[in-house]
Amino acid sequence: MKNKLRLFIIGSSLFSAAMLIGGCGADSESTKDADTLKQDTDQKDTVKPDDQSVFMIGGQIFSIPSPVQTAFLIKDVGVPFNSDYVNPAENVANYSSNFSKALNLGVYGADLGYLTIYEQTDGALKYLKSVRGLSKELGLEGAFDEKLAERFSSNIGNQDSMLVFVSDAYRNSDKYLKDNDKNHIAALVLAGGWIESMYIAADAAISSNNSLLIERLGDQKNPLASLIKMIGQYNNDSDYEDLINELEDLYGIFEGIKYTYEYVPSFTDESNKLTTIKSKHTVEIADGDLEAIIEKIESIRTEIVE
Amino acid sequence: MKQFKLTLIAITLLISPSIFGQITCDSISNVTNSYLNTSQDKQLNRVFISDGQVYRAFLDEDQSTEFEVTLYGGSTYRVASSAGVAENYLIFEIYDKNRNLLFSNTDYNNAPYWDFKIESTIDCFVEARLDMNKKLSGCAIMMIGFEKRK
Repeated sequence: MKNKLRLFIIGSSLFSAAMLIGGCGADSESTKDADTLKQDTDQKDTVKPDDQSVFMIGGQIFSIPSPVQTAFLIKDVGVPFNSDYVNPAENVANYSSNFSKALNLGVYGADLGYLTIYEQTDGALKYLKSVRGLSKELGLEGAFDEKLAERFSSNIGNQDSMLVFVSDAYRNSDKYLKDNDKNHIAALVLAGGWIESMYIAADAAISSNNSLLIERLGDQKNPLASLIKMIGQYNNDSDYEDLINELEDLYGIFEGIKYTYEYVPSFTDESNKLTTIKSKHTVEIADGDLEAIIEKIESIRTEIVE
Repeated sequence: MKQFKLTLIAITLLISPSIFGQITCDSISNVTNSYLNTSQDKQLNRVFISDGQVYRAFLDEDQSTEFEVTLYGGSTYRVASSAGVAENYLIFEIYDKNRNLLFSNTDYNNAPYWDFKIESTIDCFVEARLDMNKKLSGCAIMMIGFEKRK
């Protein structure tokens, strides 16, 4: 009987350990196709309702637009590449607290996207190094590992693949942080990415006076509100408080923008699994508000990167 | 020795379900990710770039989760979702800020992913819940990607 108990304990412990190791490598499955993955899930989806207490998943969910998407718009409207828009890669050595490291991991992610879209491959590789350095210090080396660097380097010239790798790496780090109760760090990474993308868009809007870029800046009221609520959940020290205060000041300027919205029924093309959202939206930003927004974004961004 | 065994049992009991749960969520996450870039997309040379976030919730009976998202005009997005074994466990709906229903995957057999062409920037709500006829509780994952223009 004693032997059986011992075998059970050892067996269970080894099984748990094996599962833990397997779980850590789960992200490597990201390249499998949907059918294979569904078969895997079939086999693994053994959690019963009683197990729900083991999940620490909850709270509010927030969505922040991708910095990469705004970088695409900047290029699409014809604004030329400007290396002054990005945070120098060498600055990575200046960030000592987890707070500044997390924010700047987001900043460098946005910069990496901007450089990749403009096919600045040497610069992109340099920034990937900064991203990896910061991610390692934040315990996120799994998301930005050597394999990612190799895949990124070997796909130089293939912009689609490079952007997918980087976006997936940021999403894996977001998942890892949320899995490990580090939502506050995940929030800062997203905040850094959003602020940097707004900074680049603001500079590009000034240089080009392009209406689409100006409108994109004006469209940030809701994402900014989400950002403030998201970071507000972790408002437990002066760093967070200062950042929230700055973002709230920025939000105050957005209150002056005039928005209109008209609901128009959507149209769905079922055969292509495509729904066209036809509702209309306009943004009207007074020159003074635009200048104030740009000035405030520059000030917040300077605080973060210096 | 007895205390050691008891400790081992306790650790085993504590860790095992947590690990199984994590793996389940990981697997669901991988399935969701696979919907962002399907084999058909590759054939059509379509690329969806993740917004870098994983939207997840543990849903119980009658529970739903909701988040706000801004979708930019002139873009096409894919919303991908999964809650486990079958493709149709999760119901997701998209509403505008005035609560007009813009899309529900229940109209399409709870399709796990769908594309949205956005004519004009819109702030909307994405709401997700389990289809109670198919699954009573579990991890639900959603992801959003935007299509890279050719």
